[in-house]
This record gives sequence, C-alpha cells and structure tokens, in this order.
Amino acid sequence: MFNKHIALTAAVLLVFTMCGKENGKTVREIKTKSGIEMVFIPGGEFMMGGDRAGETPVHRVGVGPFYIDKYEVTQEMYRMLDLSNPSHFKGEKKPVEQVAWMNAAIYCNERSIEEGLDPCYDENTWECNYSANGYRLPSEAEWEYAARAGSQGKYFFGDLKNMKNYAVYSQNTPGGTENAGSKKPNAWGLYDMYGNVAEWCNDFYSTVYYSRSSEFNPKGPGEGTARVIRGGSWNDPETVIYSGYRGFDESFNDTCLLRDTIGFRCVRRADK
Amino acid sequence: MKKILILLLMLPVFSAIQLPAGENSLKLSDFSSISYKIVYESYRNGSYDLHITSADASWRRQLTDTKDRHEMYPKVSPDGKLIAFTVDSGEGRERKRDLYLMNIDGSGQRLLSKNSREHCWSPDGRYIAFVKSESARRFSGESWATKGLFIYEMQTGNVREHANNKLEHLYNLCWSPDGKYITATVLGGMGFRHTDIAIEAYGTKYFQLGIVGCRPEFSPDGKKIGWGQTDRDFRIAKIDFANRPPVKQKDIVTIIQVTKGYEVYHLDWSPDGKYITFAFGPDGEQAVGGMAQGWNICILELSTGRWLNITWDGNHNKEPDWVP
Repeated sequence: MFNKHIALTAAVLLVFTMCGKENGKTVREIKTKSGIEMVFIPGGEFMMGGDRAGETPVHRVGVGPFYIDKYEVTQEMYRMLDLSNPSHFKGEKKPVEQVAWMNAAIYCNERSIEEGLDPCYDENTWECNYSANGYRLPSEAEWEYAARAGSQGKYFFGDLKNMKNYAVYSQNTPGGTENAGSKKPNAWGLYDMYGNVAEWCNDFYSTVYYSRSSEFNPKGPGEGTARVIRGGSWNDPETVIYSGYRGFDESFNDTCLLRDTIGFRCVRRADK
Repeated sequence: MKKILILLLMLPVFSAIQLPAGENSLKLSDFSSISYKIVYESYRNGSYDLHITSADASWRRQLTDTKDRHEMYPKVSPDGKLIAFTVDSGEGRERKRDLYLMNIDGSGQRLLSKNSREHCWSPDGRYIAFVKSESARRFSGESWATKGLFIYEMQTGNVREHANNKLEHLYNLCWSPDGKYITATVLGGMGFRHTDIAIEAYGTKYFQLGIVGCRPEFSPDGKKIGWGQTDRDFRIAKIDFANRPPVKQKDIVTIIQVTKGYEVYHLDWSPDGKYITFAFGPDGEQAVGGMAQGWNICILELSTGRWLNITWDGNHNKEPDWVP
C-alpha cells in the first residue's frame, strides 16, 4: 500500500514536471530517442506578421500540432551524429553556426535516420516531405507561432526592457554565441527563440507571400533564391529581434557565404 | 551576351585596363607558342572525367573514361609526369572520395589514400599533402569538411600526419615553391571563421596570410599569390614570409572581375608565370563534385590582360592545372 502510494505520487509529479498549461495551451516536453529535448506544441491560430515592410499584412494563420527543439541545435548534437561542425565559436553547448541551409536539412535527415524515422528532405531536390515523420526545419508560420507562445505583442516577454533577460544579442554579448539556454525561455519553454543564432526556416523568402499565403499550415512560396531566417542573432540590435521580424539569407550551399550568425532548430510532425 | 570585365594590373606598373568580354583581339593561335598543356575536369555522360589540352586548344585528349565514378581535381607533379587526383564513387550519403595517382597519359592508376582530398605536390615532387574527410558517418561534398593534414611520401608510399595534429577544416592546399609552407583556406577551424593561412610544412605553427577570400595559389617563383576574394573576382599580391601577415593590403590588386550572375574560380599560374588559367561561367557550384553548367576553361595573359576561353562546350569544365 505504501509503495503504491509512492508510485502514484511519483507518477503525478512526473506529469506535472512534463506538462504545463501556458497561455491557454498545454505544452509537453519530451526526450527523443537521441536524448534531445523537444516541446510538443499544440495546434492553434495566431495573428502572423507585423507592421514593417515584408511583415504585412498581419493575417490569421492556423498551424497543426508539432514538436520543436527546446534549444537551438548545439555543436554537441552535431558531434553525436558525427557530422562536420563548421562553427566559428566552438563549444559543445553552443549552437552550431556557419550552417548553410542545405547542411541544416542534411542534419535533419541524419537525425531522422539515427532515430529510425523517415527523412523529410529529398537530397537531390531539397524538397521537404511534410508528411514524413522525421525531422525538418520549421515552416516560417510554425516558427513564429512557437516564438509567440500565445503572446500577441511585439515581444513574447512583454516590455522591451526585458530583452536582456531573454535574448543573446548585440547589447549583452562581447561578440559571439553563448551556450544554448543561457537566457530565460518563452512561455512554452523554448530557449533562444530570440537571439544567439538566427534560425533557418524551411520556407523560401518572399516579401509579398503574406498577401497570398494559405490560412492553414502555410509552407512558403514554391521557389525563391533565399530562405527565411528568424529570431535575430548575437550580432543583431534589438530593432530586428521580435516575433514578427523576417530575415532571409542566400547561403543555401555556398561556403563563401556562410555566416556565424545563423543556426537552426528542428521540428517534427505530431499527430495529436 | 556574357559580360566579363577584366581589370588588369600590369605588375609592377600598377596600371589597370578594362576589357569587355568578346571584344579583345586575342585568338587561340596567340597561345600556340605556349608549350605547357592544361589538365582539367569535365562532366559528360553522367560523370566527371579528366582531360588534357594544349593551351591553344589545337590538341585535346580524354585521360579517364569511367561511368561509375568521378575523376576530379587534377594536380600535376612538378616534373609533369604524374597526376594526383580525386575519385568519387557511390552516390548520396554513401559517396566516397579517395586520392589516386596516374601517369600523365592516363595510364597506371593507383590508389594513394582513402577518404582523402584537396591535395597538392611539394615543389620537389617527393611528397603530396592532403586532408581527409572528417565524418565517417556520411560523405560531405563541402570543401571544408576535412580533418587533419597528411603527407604522402612518393618514394616509400608512407603516410604521416603533419606535426600539428590539431589542424582541421582545411581546403585547397598549395605548397610554397620554397617548400617551407603549405597554404590553405580554413572554415570554422582553429578558432577561425573563414580565412586563409600558411602552415609550416615542417613545424607546427600557422598564421593568417592577410587576405580575404579563398583558394590562394602561389606564382611559380613564390613571390606572388593569387586568390578569389569573392565568387566574381581574382586578386593578386606580393607575398613575403618575412612579414606577418605576409601580404600587405597596399599590394593587393584585382586582376579579374566578372558581373553578377557569373563566377570565376580555380586560378592556376603557368609554370613561366606569364599566364593564369581559370574556370569561368554562370553561377554554379565551384566545390569539387559540384555542378557548374556552362563553365569553361580560360587563359589570361598577365602582361596584357587579354584572355580567351579554350573550351566552349560548357560541360562543367573546372579545376585547370598547368602541366610543367
């Protein structure tokens, strides 16, 4: 009876440890087969965009449920898969950077293979199979939905004066990345959604896409020359670090264009 | 019409001229006095193979002809008798890149080192420096995805690692004509973001060259160095290893600049130092094994700035290397 009571208590604690209702949504942390922490993001709707050129019109978007990495992909995570680490600022706990979009997609595929999942990317065409159960880069809509974490303002933390507590950016770093998770997370437990490294999204970049994007799970234009980056980096000023800011970069696979300000995190399909 | 703008510096006069593509008076016959041939890679019928041509394009021969593997990145020995090159086999993540050697006529192919690439010859021809692929898990075609620096000794066939075993992410090795240094581009290694370094061939130290860009190549007398600052230009400068950095900013000049949409890569000095050969074409993938439709091999006469392409088929022609 005593043991049964302890077991019941432990089970309840486990549930409370792993689940939390934040901003009206029940998020849940998991560990993947590789031991990587992800957060289950329930589907929902939000107002996407902002008031700057390229961010308009602000429009209602729905996204389905998905898992997203709790932290930006670190150099330790690269080493676990025996992949070449191109980072300028070396450190096991630091985010990987100088990653071309194509190599971020390759990481996603390798992580999928490692965990017995179906890779999302066709390595000949680099098209993403969203129905595969493996890892991929987030769509721009998924990224912004996760970054906002239910918030509706410019910043997920409210007032701008709190920026230093939530983001590694040009005003609080001596010049370079810091360990993933060194600042406070957003309401859904995601770290470094602002700053540290800007994060690749799967979408091609287009300034006019918001005016014609689909209302549910938009996946970006069918073609383009640059891919979307989100969240800003250690080298960016506060003016480009907010939930709706859209960046882009053309370093799809060109070594000469790699930047030590760009990294990524992965997402995975969730069916419930 | 293709637009190529050439800014020529007539060293050491430091004057420059501009020439639009196709409007210079150079003819292939003007290259007939050049006694050196050029080896290069070309993609046809589904695979890369190596070819050799005279400078005036009047004579050409295919050196390798394999359907199931790619022969690339030819580097001719200082005596002109041998070619070290890479062979890619397999596809996708199962691809492998190995270092091979063959005679200048394409005969006698033999494996030197598995999972090896980005090689160069020592000036006396006794050694070949190379790097190894970094990941044992899967192939990466990224030039920088390498680990270590290794030396193959021609006489014994032995391979030894360079005295500095912390070197990583090196590519485009080039041995200085005096034999003392090996230059390379490095990305995300040894604390560097992306730069060009000289490594002591027989020591452990390395230092930055003082240039921005990639793929430095020595002139045959070792007094100048050429490289690409971007996808679209070549630069040349005096280099003096008595100085740190050995290249001074005031000595850097642009010798070729092409308009957006086109690229120049893979500069190589002729053995007499009078010409450079290079690959030129529309935006493409310059890395070994990358596809570069429309690229051709060109020769630039350094004293006049006149240039001409010596291939025309655009079959991903890259990595030209002069035969001494």
